[in-house]
Amino acid sequence: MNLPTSFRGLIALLAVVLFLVIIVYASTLGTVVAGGLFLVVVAYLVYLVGYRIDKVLKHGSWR
Amino acid sequence: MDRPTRFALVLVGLLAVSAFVGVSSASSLTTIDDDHGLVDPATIDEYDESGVATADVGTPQMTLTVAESSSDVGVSGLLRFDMATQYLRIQYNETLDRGVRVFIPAEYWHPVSAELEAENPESDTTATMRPTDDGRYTAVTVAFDGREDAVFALPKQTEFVFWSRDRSREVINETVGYQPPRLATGGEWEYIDPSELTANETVPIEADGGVTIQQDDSDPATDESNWIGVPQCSRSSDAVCTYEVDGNPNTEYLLTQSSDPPAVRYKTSTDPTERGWAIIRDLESIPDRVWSDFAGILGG
Repeated sequence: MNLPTSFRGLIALLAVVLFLVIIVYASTLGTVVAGGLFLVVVAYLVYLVGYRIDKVLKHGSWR
Repeated sequence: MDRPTRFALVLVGLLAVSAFVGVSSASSLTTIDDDHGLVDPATIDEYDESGVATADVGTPQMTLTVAESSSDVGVSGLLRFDMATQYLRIQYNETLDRGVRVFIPAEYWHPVSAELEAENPESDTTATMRPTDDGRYTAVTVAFDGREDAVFALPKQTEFVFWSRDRSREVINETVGYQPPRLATGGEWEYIDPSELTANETVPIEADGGVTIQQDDSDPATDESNWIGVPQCSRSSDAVCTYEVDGNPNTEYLLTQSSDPPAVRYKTSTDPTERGWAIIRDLESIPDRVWSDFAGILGG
């Protein structure tokens, strides 16, 4: 099995790994649900920031 | 550096960044509640007349003072204006570290929810204030590190906000017959000491109208606590868990599944705010648990 090479794939893989950690170590179901939602939001924000940085590096502009 | 190594480093870094310290409080709590002189009608009358009232508490040894003027609680200064402030002074006169909960009647100020740091420079403690279920008191919880003299300044604006909120709720209820929901409910924590619990013990907890149950997840070697939720027994083998019995919806049962159960606290109301904080504290604790297991594997 190969690791994903794209930026989006790496973020998704990391989020899945962290979610599995939360499932194993959370005390209550509420923590699992809240942790999962938190990961989705953080992963999306990381993706947005990474996308803009990638644009700057490649094209010298935010847009 | 190859890709899997980089990936592992990112993972460890993320876990390390999120490993910040949880909310803490004193682990043992002495509940004086309304067993003190400030609840006496004569003391309340004295406060109405003079703007200051004092009462001694026998056990633990402490003195409570409620005042409208900062000079009556020993924190007066040139830049201190008393028009919009009331003061609570707690003089704790024992050397033992202790958490104390005391109820201040609504005759002094309208019950509020607030976290207040001590005003006087010689004290660095914080008071947690919550309205009681019946709305007659503000439950004030303070953790003392030995002998301490703490003065807390309560802004009257805070009191006004809570008075307006409660009054609006009453008006809506009286006008249209609908009771608006509360985000944070009052209610006092009841504590179950771990020494009172044995393995496979069942403790029935009254849950008429909801119940919030938490366990102390902290390291017993420290004097701090980390209150997190108690899981359902159907999906957990934790040291404590809860379950319900069909046909008995007004009782929640706490089951101990270990001979060394943690401290447990509960209050007979559903408190979404406190449940939210418990989830945050639980999430904050995960890096510590992962690290603890990781260290255990490395240490053999």
